[in-house]
Amino acid sequence: MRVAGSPSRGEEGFAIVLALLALMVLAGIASAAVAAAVGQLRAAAMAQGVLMSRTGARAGVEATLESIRGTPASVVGGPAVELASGSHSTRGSWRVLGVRLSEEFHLFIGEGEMGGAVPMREARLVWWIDPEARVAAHRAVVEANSVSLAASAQLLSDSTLATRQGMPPCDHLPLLAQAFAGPAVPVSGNPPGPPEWGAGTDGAEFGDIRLGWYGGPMLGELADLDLSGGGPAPPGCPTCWAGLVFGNGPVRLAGDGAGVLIVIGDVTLGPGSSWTGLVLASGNVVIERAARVVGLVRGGGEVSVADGAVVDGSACAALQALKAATRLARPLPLRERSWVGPVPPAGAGR
Amino acid sequence: MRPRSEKTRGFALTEAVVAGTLLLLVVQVSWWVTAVQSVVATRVVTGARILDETRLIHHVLASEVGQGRAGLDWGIADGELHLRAFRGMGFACENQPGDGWAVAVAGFRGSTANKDSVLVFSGDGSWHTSALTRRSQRSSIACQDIPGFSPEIWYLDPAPVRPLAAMYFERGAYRFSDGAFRYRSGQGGWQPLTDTGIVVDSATLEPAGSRGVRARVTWQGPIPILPAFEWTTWTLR
Repeated sequence: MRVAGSPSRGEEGFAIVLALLALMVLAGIASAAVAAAVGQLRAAAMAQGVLMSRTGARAGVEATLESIRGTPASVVGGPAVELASGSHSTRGSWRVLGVRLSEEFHLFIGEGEMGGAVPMREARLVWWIDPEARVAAHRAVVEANSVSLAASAQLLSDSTLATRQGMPPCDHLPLLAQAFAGPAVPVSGNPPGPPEWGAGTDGAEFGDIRLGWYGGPMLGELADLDLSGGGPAPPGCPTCWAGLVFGNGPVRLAGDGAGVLIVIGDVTLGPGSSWTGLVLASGNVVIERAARVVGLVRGGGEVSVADGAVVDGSACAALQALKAATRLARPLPLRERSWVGPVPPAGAGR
Repeated sequence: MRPRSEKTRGFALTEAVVAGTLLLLVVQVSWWVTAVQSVVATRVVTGARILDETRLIHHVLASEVGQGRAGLDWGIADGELHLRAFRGMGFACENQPGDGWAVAVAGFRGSTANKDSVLVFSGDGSWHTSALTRRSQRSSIACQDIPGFSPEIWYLDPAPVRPLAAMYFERGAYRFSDGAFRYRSGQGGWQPLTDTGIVVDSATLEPAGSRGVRARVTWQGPIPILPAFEWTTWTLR
């Protein structure tokens, strides 16, 4: 007997079938969406990790350039040296290796890693002053477009590697020995070409004066003592190393001093004064009566030496002056192209 | 025995018609739901693919443009990005042979003689381009040991003076054409890097200032609204 309102045999479970069908369809759509979303999430996380690793590597190189000072510890052709390392965010780390390619060019390789993501590497070419190589770039005691000597003036080149009072010996240094050893060190010669002197195609900031890859504006920023516009005189002592002494405009020295003297314009050493170290001037260098320079001189104009004045060529004095100019002892990225690559991760096969 | 009444037979027929109609309805609804499910799933999968391939295009452009210097290494002409596609770098080894230049090399692919050019950094601080005419791998070369770098001998024309470091590259170009993002090595054919489905008329590569590339990618989608992406990539060199 059939009871009114109760389902017949043919209607039993029909709604369940429909509901299951709908659920299956929805589950299919949802699972596809979940799979796609998870895939996108993984891909995005991987891309983020790579980006952060690369940023860490790049930032490590930048941080190293900003923080490291002094002379490089690596040697030409020697193994890579770890220059710096650190961490970024909460899970990232970086380190920078330095490879010395030549006396003054280095390759910084930054490695960055972010929490198990693919580690990335970035490399940058930098110039890092080497005092010995800088001094060895001089081929004569006085390098200038012209040299004017008074009758009793002296240019001495017979003891460029000799040890002098208050200075360590330098004749054992290979680059200096190669550049200045031998019986005939020229007393004078023309200024060298870029990058030792002159702008060439390297940029306007090297137009007035340059010391390797330091141009005039940067030398002014790094100066320990600025003589521009009649600034204070350097310490009055032949071996009181003043570091980098810079002047923009004509500079006249009346007493004694020592260091790296760089002047955009003319420089004059007054009667009886002295300078020990390196003298670079974009204009003329005037050494007046009884004045004395112990070191090396390079001028963009004329170097004139008056009666009784002496330029006593000394590579050791120039070297000591550059070593004492500690603010120059820092890596400097090349002005134009400096980043090189791509550098794949260490474990990547080619 | 009493025969089945007319009313009983008619009820069975009506019941059959209703059952058939319901069955058809169920089949139709099922078919519709399946079709909708298929469309939705296709959209999901296609959307994921579009995102993947857009990410690929972004990565490729960011890598290539980021490696080079605008104007020198890459430029845009007629909607095509022409560039030096840098593939690796090397630096001078400690010991040098009498012939050739010993370099420690690392790259995303190996250097290829007669195909790659080399941008060489010399000891005077200048960069020059040479052709890589020949290369050989010698494990006996003494080179600074850095993971990922392996020693090679390169023969360059012209031979550089006091070389210190180098980047090797091939000439290449990128563009959107025939529905895909494509790359051409040298003067070869345009090879697709993505699946087709890009609306080429709405996909562009154009300069953004002096150091950037603005990319716009529009995909043909299963939805009425075309998925479009636009971004600017800058060189960091």
